[in-house]
Amino acid sequence: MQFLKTYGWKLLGVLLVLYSLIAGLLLPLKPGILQVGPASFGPDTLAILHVTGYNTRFTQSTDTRVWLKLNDEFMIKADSVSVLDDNRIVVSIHIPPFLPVPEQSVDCAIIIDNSVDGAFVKPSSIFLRQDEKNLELGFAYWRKDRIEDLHTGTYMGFPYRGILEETIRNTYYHVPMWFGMIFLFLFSLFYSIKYIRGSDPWGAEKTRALNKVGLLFGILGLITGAIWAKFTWNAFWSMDVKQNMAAIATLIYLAYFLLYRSFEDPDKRDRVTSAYNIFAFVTLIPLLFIIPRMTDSLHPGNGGNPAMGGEDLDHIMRMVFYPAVIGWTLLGFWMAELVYRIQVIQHRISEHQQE
Amino acid sequence: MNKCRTDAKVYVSQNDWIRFFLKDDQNVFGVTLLLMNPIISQSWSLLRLYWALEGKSRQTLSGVFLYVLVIILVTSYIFGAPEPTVWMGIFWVILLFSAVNIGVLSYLQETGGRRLYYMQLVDPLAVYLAKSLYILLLLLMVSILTLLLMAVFHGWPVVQPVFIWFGIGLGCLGLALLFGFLAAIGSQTRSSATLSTVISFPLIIGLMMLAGKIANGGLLTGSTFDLVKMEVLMLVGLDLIIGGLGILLFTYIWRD
Repeated sequence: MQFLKTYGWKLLGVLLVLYSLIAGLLLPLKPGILQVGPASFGPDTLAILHVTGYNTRFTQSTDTRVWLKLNDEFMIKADSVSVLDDNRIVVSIHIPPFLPVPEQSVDCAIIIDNSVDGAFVKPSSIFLRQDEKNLELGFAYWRKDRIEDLHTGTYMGFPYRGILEETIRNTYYHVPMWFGMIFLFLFSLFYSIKYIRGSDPWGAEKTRALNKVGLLFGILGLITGAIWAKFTWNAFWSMDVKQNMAAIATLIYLAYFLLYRSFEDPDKRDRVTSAYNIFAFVTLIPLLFIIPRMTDSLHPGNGGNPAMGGEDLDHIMRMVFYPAVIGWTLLGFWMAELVYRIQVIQHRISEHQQE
Repeated sequence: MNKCRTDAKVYVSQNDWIRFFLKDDQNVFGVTLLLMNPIISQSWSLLRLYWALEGKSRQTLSGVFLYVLVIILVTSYIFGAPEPTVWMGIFWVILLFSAVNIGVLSYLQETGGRRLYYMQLVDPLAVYLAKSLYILLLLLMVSILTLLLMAVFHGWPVVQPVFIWFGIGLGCLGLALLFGFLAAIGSQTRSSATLSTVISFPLIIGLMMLAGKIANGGLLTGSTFDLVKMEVLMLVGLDLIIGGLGILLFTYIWRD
């Protein structure tokens, strides 16, 4: 029992991190549409579309169907689909002479479905235009086909999303850094308060150890975020509000260490840095949780919601994401404990040398 | 300072309010009742002391005024008449650095013996309140001077000054409460001026963003108070948080 209490949570942390690494990196992405061409068609033409899929297995199924979808009401089904190889198909669709909307041009999503891959979609992939309007005939053409009997696919994986593609796996390594950082800083706040109230004489050392690891997590979060941003937003740093606030948060804790080093009297140092730590954490809260919600951000889940919405995180991703968050947090606390023990040993050595 | 409290007790027990108001030598525009509280009476005395010392040496104010004047001259040489948003940016940068200077200088003046004397004599809370009020007072003076000088050298793009006053008032309050605390931390270290600046800048950014957003409302003719309601509420909240934390924690950084 004692063994479990001492080592259980560390073991759990390591296992969860290993699980998140293995599952997060090895599970494939679900099928998706990489490319569709050509992208624009006029009225009353036979469109020959070359569709390139990603992680698809077109040759294994015989029932591939393709739709052009304008919205939930209007869609047309492809006349024929010929499979070239696993990732490529050629689709021919007869584009009707009229659109069911008064606009001159519209964009359509393309939907592919078969029994092996399941159904997948690429929004805004085909542009259609019309020269004259005829809503009545347009309705007739576009209401003929229905999207029905969609398959769910036979193998599991993470969702395929345009722009994100394979980098969606970074969710399990970038986001847990912030969770870990916040938890570590919360505990450092707790120990600062305990030290200042006089109920834990080692509280200042614990605070310092937790802050060291929290700062490491923060810097790792910035680095993983910057690399991710290079692939998705095309720049390492795009002055996004959350990027800036995260940078400020790391600056605040760098200032903590600078303050720590500029004292000579250890007693005074511990007291003042603990007070600064409390002050810093509480003033950090509006920076991290309130201001980013008020400003536009490139981060997902913008507009008042945290980034845990249903669309961004499906149930397979949740099965890796939550263990990753817990695992990295536990690992952070283990690291902080080791750092703390090193600090205590250093403290003892310096005391011994003075004697 | 205790004299004031005992006097007050005597007068209140005699229920002789007129004598109470007339006799007390610390009675200034009706704040006598508040002075019954020892901490407020102490901080009031300290504030008057700081003010008297500043009036004697004029070290802080003249230094900061000179600094403001130089920056305005240099920026007017570079920008001429700047865009409204640039104008606002220059103003807040000047105010921010003035706040740093005032905070650092106010603690720099009292080292060694004088500081020990204060520590024995008054409650740390009174020191914090007096320092923050003193910084706030100087900051308001500096901001009015800055606005005047900027109107002369940079033009006056402000359409609705009400927003600017709101931004300055709440922003300066937050800055004063923040520097009352952080400059005290900095003053205890070896390199006080640099350290106060470094530890305070990341903490100021949120405050400056909110105050700047409120003040920016004054640049447009169509802006209403509803537009910045959220920012005003948040800035008031942030000021309260900073002040509350300063009051709670100042004791621990002040005593030796």
